[in-house]
Amino acid sequence: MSLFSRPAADPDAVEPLDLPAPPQVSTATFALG
Amino acid sequence: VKARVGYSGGTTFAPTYHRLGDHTETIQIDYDPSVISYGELIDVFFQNHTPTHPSHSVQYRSAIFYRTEDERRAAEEAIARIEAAVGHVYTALEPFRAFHLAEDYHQKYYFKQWIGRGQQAKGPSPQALRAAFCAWYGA
Repeated sequence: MSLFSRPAADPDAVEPLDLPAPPQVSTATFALG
Repeated sequence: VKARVGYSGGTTFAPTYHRLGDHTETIQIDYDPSVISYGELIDVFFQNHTPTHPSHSVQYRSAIFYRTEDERRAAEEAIARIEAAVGHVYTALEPFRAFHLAEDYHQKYYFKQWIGRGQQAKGPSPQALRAAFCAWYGA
């Protein structure tokens, strides 16, 4: 297969970033005591 | 993740330190439950005061303001454990309604005390060190 028969790479394609999941946040409320 | 102090549990509109009404001084904590559980926070809460003594005022009473049934159960279980070990617990268990942020001069209190003393004396207290760490990280 010829190299030239491959579809051209999309120059606008966005590589998915391998980012860690954002931290979950819960909220707790206590008296200071 | 983050913590701030304020007033909760009462009905007084827009409470302030000098016009607290029927509110209680509280701490509100944003936390990641995959790092620390609500039950562990309750344990810290009970380690930092004496819930077996009745409070002298609404301002300083012992209270847990739960938001979900799971939190209510976790608090009830913790109270039952302590009562089985040391006797009656005076901690109120109430549904969370509102949190009114306290004035800025009450936030990061230990850290501000240390800064206010010119950071001298025998060095910062453990509370001031913890507060400095939290302030540095914007918590």
